[in-house]
This record gives sequence, C-alpha cells and structure tokens, in this order.
Amino acid sequence: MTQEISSLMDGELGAQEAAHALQGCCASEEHKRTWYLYHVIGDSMRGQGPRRLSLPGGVLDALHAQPTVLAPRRKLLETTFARVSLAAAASVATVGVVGWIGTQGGQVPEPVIAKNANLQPVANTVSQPALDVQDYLAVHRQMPPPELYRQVNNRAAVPAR
Amino acid sequence: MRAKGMKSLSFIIPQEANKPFVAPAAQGGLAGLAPTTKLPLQGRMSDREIDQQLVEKAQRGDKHAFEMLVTKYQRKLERLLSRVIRDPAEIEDVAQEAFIKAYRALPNFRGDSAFYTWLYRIGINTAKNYLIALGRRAPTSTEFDSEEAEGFEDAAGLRDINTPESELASKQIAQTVNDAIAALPEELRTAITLRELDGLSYEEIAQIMNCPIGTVRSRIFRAREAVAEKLRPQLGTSKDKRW
Repeated sequence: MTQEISSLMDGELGAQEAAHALQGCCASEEHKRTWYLYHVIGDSMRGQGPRRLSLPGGVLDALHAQPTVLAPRRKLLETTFARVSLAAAASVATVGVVGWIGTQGGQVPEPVIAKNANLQPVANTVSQPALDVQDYLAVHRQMPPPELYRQVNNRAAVPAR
Repeated sequence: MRAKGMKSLSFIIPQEANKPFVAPAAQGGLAGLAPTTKLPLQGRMSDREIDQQLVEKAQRGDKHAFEMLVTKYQRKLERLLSRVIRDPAEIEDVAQEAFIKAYRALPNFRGDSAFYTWLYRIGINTAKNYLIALGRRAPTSTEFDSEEAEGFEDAAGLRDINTPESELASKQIAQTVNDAIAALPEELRTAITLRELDGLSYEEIAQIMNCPIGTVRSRIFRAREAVAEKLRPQLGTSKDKRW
C-alpha cells in the first residue's frame, strides 16, 4: 500500500488504482501518516519544509468537532461529464439525421395513400364552363380597327444614300 | 509549481539545512542530458483529480478524506498567509479557521476550479477579515490577489515565518531529510531528485535513467521510505494513536 501512496502522490496511478489507494489511505491512520511524511519530504527537498514535524493536530481536532458535512448528490446534468456526454449525443444524433436525409437524395417518399388501389385519384383539373360564341365575338368587336395598327417591318432599316 | 524542465544539477552536499536539497549528479553528470519531451499522461489520475476525489469523499461524509487535504495543503496555505500576516501564531490560527470554513463550505464546492485555488481564496479572505477585525489594514486586492494563489508555491520572496524555536525544529527536519537523501544509493537519489525537484514523470525518469517505469516507481518509493524512516521518530506518534 505504501508504494501505491507514493505513486498516487506522483499522479502515476490509473483511476481504479488511485481510488483503491485513496480508500486505503483514508481507512488507516498509519497510511495517513505515510501520506503526510511523503509530502513533508518533497516539501523539504524544495526548501518548503514544515516549521515542526507534527500533524496539524489543532486543525484536525477542530475538524472532528465539526458536524459532518453531507453535500446533496449532484444531479446528473450538473456533472461536467454528463453535460459533455449529452451535448455529444445530441451532436451525433443531429449529424445522423442530416446524413440520413442526405443519402436519400432529397427525394420525398411517395405517400402511402397513393398506393392504395381502392382509392381513385382526384382530378386536379377544374372544369371550365363552355365559352359562349357570342361573348367571344363581342370581345373581338371591342378591339380597335386594323388601320390603327402600325405596320411593323422586321427588317433592319437601310440608311439613305 | 514544480519546475518541469531539467535543471542543471551540480554536486553540492547540503551544508545549510534550510536550503532546498540539491542532488549530487550521477556519474557522467545529469546536466549533460537533453531535456525529454513531455509524454501523454493517459489514464493517470492527476493531482487535481486526486484532490477532487478526496473532496467528493469528504462531501459524502468522510472526514478522513478532508484530513488528507489538510495535511497536504497546510504548509502551503501557511506560507501563502505569511504574505498577509506576520505573526506565526496568528498564521496558524487563520489557517485553521480557513480549513474549517472550507470544510463547512464543501457542499458548495462544485469542482469548477482546483481545490487548492478555492482553498487559498478562502484563506486570503479569512486573513483579510482577521486583520480588519483587529483594526489593522488588510492588503488590497492589488497588493495580493487570491487568483495568483494558483501559481503560488515558490519559496522566493516569502518572509521567514519561523520563530527562533520553530526555526531550530525546522532546520532539524530539513537536516534529517537532506542527510537521509545524501546517504541514499545513487540510483534512488537520482530518481527522487528528478521527481521532486524537476517534477518529471516516471516515464521521463525511466528514459533518463534507462530503466523500466516499474523500476523508477520502486526506486522513488524506496527513497521516500528510507527518508521517512528517519523522520518517523521525530513525528512521535504511535500506530494506534490518531495521527
């Protein structure tokens, strides 16, 4: 276990091993002392050693006098992992749907109702009432006489010599 | 923060106990070795993640987990507070109050920042309130910003917070550590020096020392255990006693 504590301090354990080492540390006074001493060694080597070699008894006594805190469990969406997972899942789903639509070539599938043989297609032409000949002639009479029309020549005009 | 690059190591037997340990170089000189490139730390639990695990255990009611955070950060917090408060006894009291405040506020800690950043901010605010309560002038935010606490670890520029008595004890501890390290076999001394002073990963140390990672792991552990054996009598606690 002490070797695990050493590796734990150095950040050289995997998540599972680290969780096991932390569990062991918390459960044993001897391992907690080891944890303390190993930190003292590193700090001393860096010139940041303690003023005296003793565990912070005052703090720990005061800590034990405190009522135990119990934080409410965080909801799923409050954890970073859950938020990232949800966002990733939404992105994947969006890409999937867009991709699927793209592979369909933009064709809209035929409506199922058209395949039903028992149903008759509805005529989409609107029946026009028969045109009255008299009305037709009356319209033509209202048209201006032919002399009012200027003759149009579609040939290019020849410049005068 | 620990230095991440290779330092040039020279052969100095520690004369002054309070000075940081400077490791003797290996045969041929470690100074000549090229710095190694950083390797990915896939699957490893970082320092911040370890703290987060301990915080979550404490939030579930495990006080022992919070004790581990206290023992890890007490010295660093006191050194930080020494920038605001002069009296060592007051520093100790304020640090204690800061830890208790942090413990009470644990349900509100969501892990958005590193635990130590959060703790140091509580520490600085506690120190400022303490000074105001005493009618002394608290440092302004421009004099000391708790945001800089994240990068705070360097001994440079810090006042010595030792009293004459504690200075003697402090020197004894440092002397014990330095003597124990100087007495280590060279491969153990090199391994722990590269880890603690240069902050190299096991993989990088393995490359430098040309040995498997498992050997590095074992060497660092054996070095720590050898030094800890010298310190345990000074700690003066028995196995059945709490701490």
